[in-house]
Amino acid sequence: MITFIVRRLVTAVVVVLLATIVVFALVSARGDPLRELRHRPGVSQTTLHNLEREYHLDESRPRQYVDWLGDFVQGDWGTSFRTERPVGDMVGEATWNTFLLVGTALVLSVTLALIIGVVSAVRQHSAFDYAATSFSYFGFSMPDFFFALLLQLFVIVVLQEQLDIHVIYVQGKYTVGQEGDVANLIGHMVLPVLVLMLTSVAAWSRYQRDSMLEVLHTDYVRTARAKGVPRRQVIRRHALRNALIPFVTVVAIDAGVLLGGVVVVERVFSWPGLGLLFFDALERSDYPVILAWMAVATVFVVLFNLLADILYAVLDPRIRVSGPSRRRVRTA
Amino acid sequence: MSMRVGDESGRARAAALDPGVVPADAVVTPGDGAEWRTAWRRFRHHRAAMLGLGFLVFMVLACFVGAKFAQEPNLQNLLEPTSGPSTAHWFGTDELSRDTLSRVLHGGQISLTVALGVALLSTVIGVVIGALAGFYRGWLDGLLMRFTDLWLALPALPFLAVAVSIGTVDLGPLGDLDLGGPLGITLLLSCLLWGSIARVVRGATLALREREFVDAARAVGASNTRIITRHVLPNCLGPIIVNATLVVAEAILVETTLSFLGFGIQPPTPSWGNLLSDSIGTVDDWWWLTVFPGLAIFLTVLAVNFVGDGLRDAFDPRRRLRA
Repeated sequence: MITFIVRRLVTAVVVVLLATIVVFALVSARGDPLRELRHRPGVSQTTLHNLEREYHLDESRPRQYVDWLGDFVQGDWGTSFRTERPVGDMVGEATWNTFLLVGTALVLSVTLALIIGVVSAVRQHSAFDYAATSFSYFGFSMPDFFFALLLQLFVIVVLQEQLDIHVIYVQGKYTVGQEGDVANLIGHMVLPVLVLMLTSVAAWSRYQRDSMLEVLHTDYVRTARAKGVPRRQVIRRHALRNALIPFVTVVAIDAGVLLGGVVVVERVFSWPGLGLLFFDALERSDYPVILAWMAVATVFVVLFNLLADILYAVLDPRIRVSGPSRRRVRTA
Repeated sequence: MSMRVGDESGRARAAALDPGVVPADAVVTPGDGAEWRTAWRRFRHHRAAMLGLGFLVFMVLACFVGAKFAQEPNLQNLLEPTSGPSTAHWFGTDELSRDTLSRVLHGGQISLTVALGVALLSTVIGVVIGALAGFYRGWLDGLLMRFTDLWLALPALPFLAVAVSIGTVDLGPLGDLDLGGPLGITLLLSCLLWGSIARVVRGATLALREREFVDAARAVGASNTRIITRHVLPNCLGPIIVNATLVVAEAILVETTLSFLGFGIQPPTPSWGNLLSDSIGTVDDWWWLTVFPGLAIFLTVLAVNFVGDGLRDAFDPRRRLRA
C-alpha cells in the first residue's frame, strides 16, 4: 500500500510539473505581460524596470519558467497589477469563498445523487426511475449559464416582484450593510449552489444507478438473496457497499474539475471566489494573478485525481494487486 | 442511457463513464452493410432518438436555410425601440433594436459548424492515438495514456480562455490564425476533447487485436497499418460514432460557455453563447434576449443527447437489456 501511494505521489508531482510548463507556455504566448502597464499613465520607467526584474522578464523563456517556478514554490506569487495587493492573499480569500460554494454543493449533490441513484436502481423501470432519467437528460443538456440566468429571472420576476419575498438574492455574497449575517449569506448562496448541483446530481445519480444495477445482478447478491438474507440488508450490506467504490472515485475526480464550473457561476452571481478572480484577471491581463491561478487550479485538480486513486485502492484491494489505473477498470 | 455530460467538467465524467467496448461477439463481417441496416432499424424504434433527429434536421434547416429569409442579423432598426416578441420580430429585438430571431439563426450557423468541426477533428485525433496505444501496447500505450490522463485532468474552461486570449498567431506560410475566431475555437476545442474517444478506441483495439480474424490477416502477411485500418477500426465504428455524437453536445456547451463569458466568438458576430452575455445583471429587463437563445442551445444539446443515446442502443442492443 505504501509503495502504491508513493508511486502515485511521484506520478502526481511529474504531472504537476508538466502541467505548469503547459500553463507557463500558454500564458507567455499571450505576449508582453507588461503591455498594458506600459501604456498606463503615471507608471515610471523605473517601476517597469523593477517589474521586469521581479518577474524575470529580462531572461530567456526557459530561464523565466525556472525562476517563476522557484518563486511559486516558495510562495512568492507577486503583486496583482490590478489591485496592487499580494497575489497570495487574493487567491487565499477567493479560495475560501469558492470552497464555501463548492463544499456545500458537493455535500448536497453527493447525498441527493446517492439517494436518487440507489432508489432508481432498486425500483428499476418505476415512475421514480423514469422521472430521474428525465431529470438527468435535463441536467446534461442545460448550459450552466442559461440555468443560472433562468433562476435569476425567476427569483426577480416571481419571488421579488410578484410575491414580494426577499430572502433569496441574485448577486454577491452579502447585501451591503449586512456583512456577517448568516441568513443573508445563505440567501446569497442558494442560487449558485443550485446551479453547481445541477450537472453533478444529474451525472452522479446516473452513475450510481448503473453501478448499483450492475452489483445487483452479480452472483454474490443472488446467493445472499437465496440464503434468505432480507432484501433491505442485501441492498445495504452487499450491493450498496460495492457500488459505492466507483462512485467515490468519480466524485473525487469531478470535485477537482468543478473548479472550471465555478468560473461561470461566480461570474453570473458576482460571487467573489476563484472563478470571478480568474475572469477579472484575464479581462485585465493581470499577469501574476493569471499565472498563479492556473498553477493553483492545476495542483487542485491533480490532488483530487490523486485522492481518487488512493481512495479507490483503499476501498478495493484488487486494484493494489493487479495495479491498473482506476480508469482502465471498465464499469460497463 | 446517456451518462455523458456536455459541460467542460464532463470530460472527467466521460473518462469514468465511457460508453464501453464492443462486445466480443458483436463483431460482424465488414462489407455487406447488414449491420448498418440492423442498427438503423433499432434506431428507428427509439422514439426519443427519432424526435431528437427530427429536431436537429429542423434546427439545421432553420439556421442555414431559414436564416436567408430573416433580417440581416446586424441590421439596427433604429426607429423601433427595444421590444418583446411580436409578429414583426418573433423573438423580439435587442438593445440595438436588432432582430433576435435572426441573430439566433445566424449564431446557430457558427455554433453548429464549430460543434461539427470539433466532433470530426477530435474524433480523428482520438482514433489515431487510441488505435496506436491499443494496438502496439507496451511503452507507447503507457506514454499515450498517461498523456491522455493529464489532458483529461486539466480544467478545460480556464485553459481554453487563456488560449483564446493569445489572439492571432502567425502560422508562417499558412497565414494568420485568429484563435478567437470560429476556426481557432474549433481547433482549440478539438485539442481538448479527444480524450474520451482515444480511451474508447484503445479499449476496443485491445480486445479486437486478440481476435482470430486479426491472426488470420497477419498470417496472410497483412501489415500492421492494414490490420488497423481494415480490420480493427471498422469493427469499432459503432462506439466511435456514438462518442462523436456526444462530443457534438459537449462542443456546443463549451463553445457557448466560452462565448458567453466573452472569451469565445466575439460580437458583433453572433454565436449562441455571446447572445446571452449582456444578460448578466440585466436578465429581468428583456427576458426574451435570455430565454430564446438559451432555449436554442438547451433543445439542440438535448436532441443531440437523445440521438447519441439511440445510436448507443442501436449499436449495442445488449447494453439496453442490461441497464
